[in-house]
Amino acid sequence: MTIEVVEVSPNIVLPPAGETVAGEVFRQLLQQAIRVADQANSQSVRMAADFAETYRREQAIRSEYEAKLRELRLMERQTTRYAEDLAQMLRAERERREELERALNQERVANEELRRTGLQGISHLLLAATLKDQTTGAHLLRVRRYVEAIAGRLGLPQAITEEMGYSSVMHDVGKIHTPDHILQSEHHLSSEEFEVMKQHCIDGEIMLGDARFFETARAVAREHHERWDGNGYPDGKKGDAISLAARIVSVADVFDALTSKRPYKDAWSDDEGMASVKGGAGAQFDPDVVAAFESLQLDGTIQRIRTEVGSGKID
Amino acid sequence: MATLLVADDLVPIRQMVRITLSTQGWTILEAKNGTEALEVARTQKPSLILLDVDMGPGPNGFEVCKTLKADAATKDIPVVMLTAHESDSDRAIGFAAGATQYLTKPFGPLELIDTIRGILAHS
Repeated sequence: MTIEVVEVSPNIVLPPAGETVAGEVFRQLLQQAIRVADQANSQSVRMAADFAETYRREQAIRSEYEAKLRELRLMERQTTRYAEDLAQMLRAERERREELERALNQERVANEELRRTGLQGISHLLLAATLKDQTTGAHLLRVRRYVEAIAGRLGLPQAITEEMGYSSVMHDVGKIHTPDHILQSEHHLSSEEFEVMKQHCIDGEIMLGDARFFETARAVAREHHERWDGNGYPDGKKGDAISLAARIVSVADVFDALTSKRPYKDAWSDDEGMASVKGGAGAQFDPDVVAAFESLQLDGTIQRIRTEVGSGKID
Repeated sequence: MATLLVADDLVPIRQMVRITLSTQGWTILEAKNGTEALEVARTQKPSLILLDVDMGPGPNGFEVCKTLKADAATKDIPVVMLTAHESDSDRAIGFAAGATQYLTKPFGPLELIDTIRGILAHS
């Protein structure tokens, strides 16, 4: 701000001093008037300057305040924006989780359904095979328990052990196609009859379809008459080429057949059965599986399974 | 992991950016004005620079960007303007100065992260 200063004194011409009394009085009055005017003038100049200074300070404070206010408003909007984004993210996250849980639940239901269907299928197959073969349900149950015990002793995971267990009971389902006179023959089979007998392994594998649920069961049906030394049937597979499940079922099935009474023979004792299985280690059977089975007999597991299944205390 | 520079005169903005971007595993350098931003850009060679426009005394964000783009040592570092100036003419000035992207305040955390990710993926 500019302040206009009114110059008073220099423009007034004073009368010469000491001329008349009137003139002297006038001169003095005039001088006094000039002094007063000068004083008033400098006072207003001073006030104007003060005002200008105060105004400047005020302006500076005001603009500083306004800048701070703008900053605060920006931060407020910024914070709101972050909170909105956060809320949005949390909502999306919750929806994703709920969707995932729904999907998982559906999956669980579907799996359970599949399992039930599979297990129902097994019982139908077994019913048919048992009626035809006169194999007893007790034989299949003992085989299943032996298989689970061997797999457990070999250190296989629980899920695999269970799968081998339920798969083992279907090893002979292919016999549904085998003619009765061959199945029930009490004589040694002729080579032609034996060829027909071999077919039950292949039929069993085919009957079990292509569902993942029966993958192990198919291998067991096909390979449970294979031998460790390669002299088995139907494919003459050898050693590790035979699935582990089939190698286990082979031992369990033969042992139970030996220790059970059949139309053409009496039941062998556990020790006789065990001696026979041990004799086949490395020839008919996988030696590791035989070793696991022997340890199960030594600690009484085999005897316990036979007692439990025989007395109806099963699963 | 990438190192990023954020230049802004406001401490809370720098903190928000740092906290937001650290979730991505990036290292965050800070500058509180244009002069510091230029200094850090030259000495630390960050992978990307976030520039505010009004940063108090010294060069503003547009000028800093122009200077960076004129220097062979820093011209390849992508610059993202991050400012409350939201008019089209300001955007035009920013891109003319060589900015790769122009974000306005208030910015969203995901918007910021996605923008930077996109640029880093292409460079």
